[in-house]
Amino acid sequence: MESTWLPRDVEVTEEERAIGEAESLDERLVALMHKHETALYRFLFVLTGEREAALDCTQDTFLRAYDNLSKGKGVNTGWLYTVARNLAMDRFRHAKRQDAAVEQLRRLPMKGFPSPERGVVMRDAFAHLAPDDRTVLYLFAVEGLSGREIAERLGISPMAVRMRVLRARERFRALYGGLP
Amino acid sequence: VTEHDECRDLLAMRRELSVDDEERLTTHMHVCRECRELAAEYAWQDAFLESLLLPALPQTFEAGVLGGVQSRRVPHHLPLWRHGLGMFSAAAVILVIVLTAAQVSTAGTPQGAAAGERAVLQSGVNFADPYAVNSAGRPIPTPRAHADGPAIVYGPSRKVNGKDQLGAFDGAVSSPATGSASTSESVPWVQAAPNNGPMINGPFLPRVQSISHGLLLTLTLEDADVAQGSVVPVDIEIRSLTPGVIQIAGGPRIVGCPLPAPGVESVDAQGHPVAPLPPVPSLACNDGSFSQGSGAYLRYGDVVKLRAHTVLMTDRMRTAVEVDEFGRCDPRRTDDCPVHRVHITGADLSLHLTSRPAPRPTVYGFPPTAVTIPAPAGVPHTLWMAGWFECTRAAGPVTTEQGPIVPGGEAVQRSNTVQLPIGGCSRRSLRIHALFGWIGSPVARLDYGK
Repeated sequence: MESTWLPRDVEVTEEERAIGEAESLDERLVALMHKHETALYRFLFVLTGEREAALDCTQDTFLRAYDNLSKGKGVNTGWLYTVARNLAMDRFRHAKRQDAAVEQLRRLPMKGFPSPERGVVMRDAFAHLAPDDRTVLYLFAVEGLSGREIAERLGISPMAVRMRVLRARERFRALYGGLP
Repeated sequence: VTEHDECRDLLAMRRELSVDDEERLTTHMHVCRECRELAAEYAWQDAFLESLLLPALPQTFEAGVLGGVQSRRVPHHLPLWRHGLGMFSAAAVILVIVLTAAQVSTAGTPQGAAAGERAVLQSGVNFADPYAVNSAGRPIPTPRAHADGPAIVYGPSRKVNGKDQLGAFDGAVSSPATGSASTSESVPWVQAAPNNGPMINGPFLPRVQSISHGLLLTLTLEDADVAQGSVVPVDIEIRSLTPGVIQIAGGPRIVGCPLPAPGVESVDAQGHPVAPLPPVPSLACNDGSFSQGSGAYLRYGDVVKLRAHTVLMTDRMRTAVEVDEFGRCDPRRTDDCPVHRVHITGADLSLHLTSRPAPRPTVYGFPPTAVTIPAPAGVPHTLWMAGWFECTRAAGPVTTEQGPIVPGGEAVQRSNTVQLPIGGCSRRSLRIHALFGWIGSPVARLDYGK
């Protein structure tokens, strides 16, 4: 069946095309959520450092996706992450204090890290990294995405992703005092 | 740019490298100590990032988004003539309800649309906007009662102080849980903190410890000031003191099947569990295991800590946990270990309960598709819910579907609107039994169906 909800200028994967072929708008939304909700929520948590902010932005992102779908417009991975990031940035601009965000990141539990003392130092450093540095490291090391996939989510070129990962690693290392 | 600088760049995204680049990097690292140290450092970074336990979305996330979608379908700016039409429709609905109520009071039993159902129409349409709160405590819009569909607000009617009260908590409606323990024993060990008397409001929290089946069970209540029928958070600690291997398989039976994690149950004076909901008639229970931290199996000295919620049906409660015992056999090494499942309960924790009124839920749809529960003052609060439904599909081969209203039997959320999973079910063949309450406050109970 030919998808009718995606305009031609939006590049979609097979999985996203299957979402587009779901019968009702609600089903499309649920399929979108099943595919992206966890990764998007964690991306936003790493970006904002706040569970509540991440939850609100994730909800708002899917509500906007629904609006787009109901108008016959396209929604793909890049669109979701761009909207989510913009919502989070709006929130940053209106936030009066950022200490709470750092605190939640500093209290994140860890599992299986071989050196607990070093882990605590690295976790403090990670919490104090710039939000964009945290997210690019998260997408690369935790989500295991390729440079091209990260580029799609952040709306930048794969070459820019490479530079961002490199600089984020350097700044992270400088913050926790790693060698060399 | 020197080869050294290039290799430093390549190290940052090493798993993306082409075969040629990887060979070049490896060759350079043989002679460059700084690059070897940098590679080790980046490996530490990757290990650290992978070790972070990032938070998970609440189970009710999708329901919340779908609720938001529903509210977006409501037109916000209606032309005046449509407002007038809405008022006319509302008046017509009220007239129908008043007439139906009159018929009910005359005949003594529900008639017409509500015949055969326990849900009795209430005395009017609730035009007050229900509301939910966001994490910052600000009200957010939710579907209006009269937006579309049959604009009827109803619920089980109970007499409270001589007046009908919608969904009011009724302490007398309770029944013992079925399918209970195959084995149960409990040896009180130490009652560490005062549960009654003058120190009830002191710095100590109600707490009890006991040893049963080689497990040291510790139950702690977060707050000593609790009301009858409240849903409260409890902290449970289970320490294995048995030399054999065990696996925690579940907890108490809140919707008929054991919860997927250890929990707490209320007990009556005879020590029988008192369930807050009637048991599900014939729900097929999934066999599962509870895992926390690294691995689902516990050996001597291993500890599991968790927070659960319970409804205080009586003034006594205890920890309940289902455990698979493997004895000396290690199930991580062989699949042939004989397993013995036991239902273990801890010693009773006695409480002094106060009395507070339950919230008054509003039910939407006919049959119900959503429920809102008024939020108490002082936000944000967290709503707890549990329950089950049974539905016999009218179309096609007759099949009966049963299940919890929320995955896992219970859930918490910040919004005060709960979506009920009964789409496509005939209202005459639907049953719902559910509890809703703000954590720390009495719960309301919804009973719908024959």
